[in-house]
Amino acid sequence: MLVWSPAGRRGFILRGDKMKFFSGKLKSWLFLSPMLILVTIFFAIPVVLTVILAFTDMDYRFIWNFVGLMNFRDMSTDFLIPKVLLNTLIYTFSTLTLFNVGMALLISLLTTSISDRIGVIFRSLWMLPRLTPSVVYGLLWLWIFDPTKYGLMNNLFALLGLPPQDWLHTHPMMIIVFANGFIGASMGMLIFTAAIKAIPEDYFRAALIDGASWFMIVRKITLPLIKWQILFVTAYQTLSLLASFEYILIITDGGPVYRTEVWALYTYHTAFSSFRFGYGAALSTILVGIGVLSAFIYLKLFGFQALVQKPRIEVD
Amino acid sequence: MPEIRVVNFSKHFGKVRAVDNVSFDVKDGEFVALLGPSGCGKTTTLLTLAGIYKPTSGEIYFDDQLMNNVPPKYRNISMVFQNYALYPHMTVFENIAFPLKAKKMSKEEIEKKVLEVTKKLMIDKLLDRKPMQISGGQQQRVALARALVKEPAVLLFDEPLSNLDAKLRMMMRAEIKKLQSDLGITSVYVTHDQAEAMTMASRIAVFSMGKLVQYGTPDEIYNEPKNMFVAAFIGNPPMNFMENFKVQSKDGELFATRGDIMVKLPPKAKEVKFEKTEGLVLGFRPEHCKIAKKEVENSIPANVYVLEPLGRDLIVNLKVKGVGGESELIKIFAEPGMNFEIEEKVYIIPDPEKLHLFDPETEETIL
Amino acid sequence: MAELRLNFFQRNSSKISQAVMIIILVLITSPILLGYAWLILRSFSVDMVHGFIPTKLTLKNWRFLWQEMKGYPNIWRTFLNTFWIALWVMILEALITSMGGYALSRYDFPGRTSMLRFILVLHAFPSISLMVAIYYVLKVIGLLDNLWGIILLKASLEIPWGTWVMKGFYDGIPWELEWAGLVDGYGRFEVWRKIVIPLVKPGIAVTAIFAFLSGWSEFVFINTFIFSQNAWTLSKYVKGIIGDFRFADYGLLTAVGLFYVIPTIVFFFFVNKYMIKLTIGGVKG
Ligand SMILES: Nc1ncnc2c1ncn2[C@@H]1O[C@H](COP(=O)(O)OP(=O)(O)OP(=O)(O)O)[C@@H](O)[C@H]1O
Ligand SMILES: [Mg+2]
Repeated sequence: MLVWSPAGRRGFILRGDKMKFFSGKLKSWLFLSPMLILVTIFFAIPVVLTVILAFTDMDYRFIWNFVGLMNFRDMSTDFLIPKVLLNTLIYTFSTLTLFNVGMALLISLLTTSISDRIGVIFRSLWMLPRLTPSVVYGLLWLWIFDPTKYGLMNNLFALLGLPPQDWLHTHPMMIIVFANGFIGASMGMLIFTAAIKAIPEDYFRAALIDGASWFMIVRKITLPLIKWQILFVTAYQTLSLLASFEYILIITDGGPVYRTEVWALYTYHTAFSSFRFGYGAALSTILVGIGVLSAFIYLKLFGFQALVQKPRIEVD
Repeated sequence: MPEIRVVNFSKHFGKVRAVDNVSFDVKDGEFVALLGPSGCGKTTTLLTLAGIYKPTSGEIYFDDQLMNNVPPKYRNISMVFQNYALYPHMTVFENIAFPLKAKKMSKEEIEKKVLEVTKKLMIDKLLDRKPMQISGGQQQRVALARALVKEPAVLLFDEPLSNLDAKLRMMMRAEIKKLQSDLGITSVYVTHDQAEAMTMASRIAVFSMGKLVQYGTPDEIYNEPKNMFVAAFIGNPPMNFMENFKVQSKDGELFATRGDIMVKLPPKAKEVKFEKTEGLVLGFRPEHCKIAKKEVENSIPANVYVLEPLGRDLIVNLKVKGVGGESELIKIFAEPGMNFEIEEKVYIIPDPEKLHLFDPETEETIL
Repeated sequence: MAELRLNFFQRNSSKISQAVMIIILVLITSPILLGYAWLILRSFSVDMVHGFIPTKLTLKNWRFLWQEMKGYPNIWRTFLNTFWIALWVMILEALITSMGGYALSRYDFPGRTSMLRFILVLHAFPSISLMVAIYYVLKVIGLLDNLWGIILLKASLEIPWGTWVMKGFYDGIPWELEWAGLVDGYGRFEVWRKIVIPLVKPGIAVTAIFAFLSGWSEFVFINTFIFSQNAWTLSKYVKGIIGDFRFADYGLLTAVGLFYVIPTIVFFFFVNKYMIKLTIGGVKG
């Protein structure tokens, strides 16, 4: 087969299929190469390295010393692990259900039920935390739950005639769930809102004419129609939450006494506070494993073919 | 069943005047069609009747009750949508049961009513299927069943047949008309298909660009169009128009003339007060003419241009020499059995009783 | 039809439910509203009553801008470091993703499907769990305690997401335009530069702004891979100030914080409407 291929502005020349194939491949890889190089250095190599390091007892001296499964044996006897696991579970589950899915659904259902002009304002406000630098965002929550009379919560308590509380000591888990939740809700909110807006208006009109109440419409029509998006957000955010520790690091740093130490943060502390890189890598390997596995499951679950269509230019 | 009255109703979306100062009424049990081209405000009017939109100004009454602020729920209406709006995640049964569930009826009662209505519409075999698993015609019936099951006082239709193929459309047309007259439910039916409106409705409201142009029986709309828009919109092929006619009287009779063309006007033309007598548009329908092969008095000479045989009918396209040298295209239904050759010279004899004259500036009907 | 008697609530049901919904939204959004209000007001006031009502206005909280804080690097140097990182992350990402996105959207080459799959996996992958290994990689290539290490790392981690977004923008451009360019006698590369790139400018702008903000806000990598004070960025500075002055001087804390958050607020209004397109990828918590 021969294809027409414009060569510069001089005019058309005929070129063989082989030639086209060859240079097309070359050019596309040329376009992709900067990305591939960086991705190799900072994704691919670290993934492999994490797994390898997990079998060493590397510390701050960076000596390679393979110790077999020792790190994993240590893990089973580490007295902190059960506590960390429980924390991770509570933290992930509550943030996910209360905020990343729950709050996200509430906001998108409410903002799509009022006039869009006002709805947009609320959705924008919920985007603000995600764009704010994490340290500043953390500062806001430190103020809200400040133990002195200057904090927002304690001011509310004072209005009710109650004494100030030391929130960071009495409810540390609640604080980090809130802090992460106000960030995490926005992704679900955007996806759910888009999904709700994609539902043909006539479904809602028909339901209104048939006399359905707001709750009935939400329960019988909106929610069933966006169930895939709910599933997607749940799956995606579970993974993000399992690996996230930035806001916990800033707000409580895992404290007080490990009460908010989650798996990802424990990994971080092990590696960068105790400088036990080998053990840290072993802890990470568990997360990396979960990450790789779930990423593939999402792909299977959420249909990949739909996202990929073939290009329609045969010329290079 | 209530009587519907729409009084000076307008609906604006920002700067868009979707509907502008429209008034009409629908009698108890009547079947009224809202007819007009795309974007003329039919759906907007219907959704306001349903209570989905609120009027920008004007009033909607059901009997003597002002409905402007009454939520859809309390209007006792049903609506059939263009794309049916069947909930894709519910079975046919659940779809039809939905309005009854909203009324918090008991399970047995719901089952009874759904079975009753689906039997009537012959879809009782499909109850467990999802809307995606049935044909367009069946979906249409399910939508109809969902509208009928709650025994509404008013039925609203928004182009319910436009997604069906021609044959099915003709069938459903008759079926909906029969159902409506059997049940006697006050109905408003939106369509852009003039044949649908003519065959189904007892009165037609013709809309154009947000305004109600004419409201009357199919007969009135067909025979006495208010203006050129209605005249052109109703009938297929549409009315023929010829420009630049003068009205002249001769021997006590009135004639429309252009150059050597001269056609006789009906006697009722004498009662008309002509504000102008020149530059008028002459209109006649394709079915209200005869074609002669030989010259006769009061006819229009023309040449055969193209033939469109339709099986039973034959539409002859003719060219008539216009004023500035360009010619006008005229379509006529030929009498059965006549044969024509291309470029053949023929003579159009319009039925004088069915002739119309229009003012080309205002487009209003003069005669 | 029977006389229709509706009570006040039935007649106004839509207005009432709208009002209730807005009230609920205000309540659940209040921590964000109050938090930012406090941040802004507190930074200009001497003290506050009831938590966030300012008493007396002052600029003293902003003293860190013109006088050195003891034990902290110069604020302007820190500012420049932060800006440097943000700028380069932005440049690299805009460049690399607009190339990669084009190849993935427009070229059919062996391995394209696997490549798309790979990028989607990276997309969902929690890269933060790789920090231990990344530390070692940075150490080996000599970019530990170096702003360039942070820049390259940050850019790389954002690239799969950015490439996916750019591919989306390219996908939205009709093929006919490119065909026309080819028929007019331009080469594929020229068509890309002269016809396609101008059309995806909004996409590039949005990707660039997000990259800038993400570089600007970076904390964990700075906190872990940067040791010397003269390479500090604002996140480290603010974190330090929070640690040292938390109970002593909220005025200073909020002023430093507000100073840091200004670019975010400036760009916020610009990028807000594009958020939806970009979320599927840019997920933090
Ligand atoms: N929600 C809306 N917001 C803004 N403009 C609207 C809205 N709904 C309708 N319009 C405008 O109002 C005009 C009338 O629309 P409407 O849907 O009533 O037309 P229609 O007669 O039903 O047309 P069609 O036959 O295409 O359905 C159109 O110009 C349309 O663009
Ligand atoms: Mg319509």
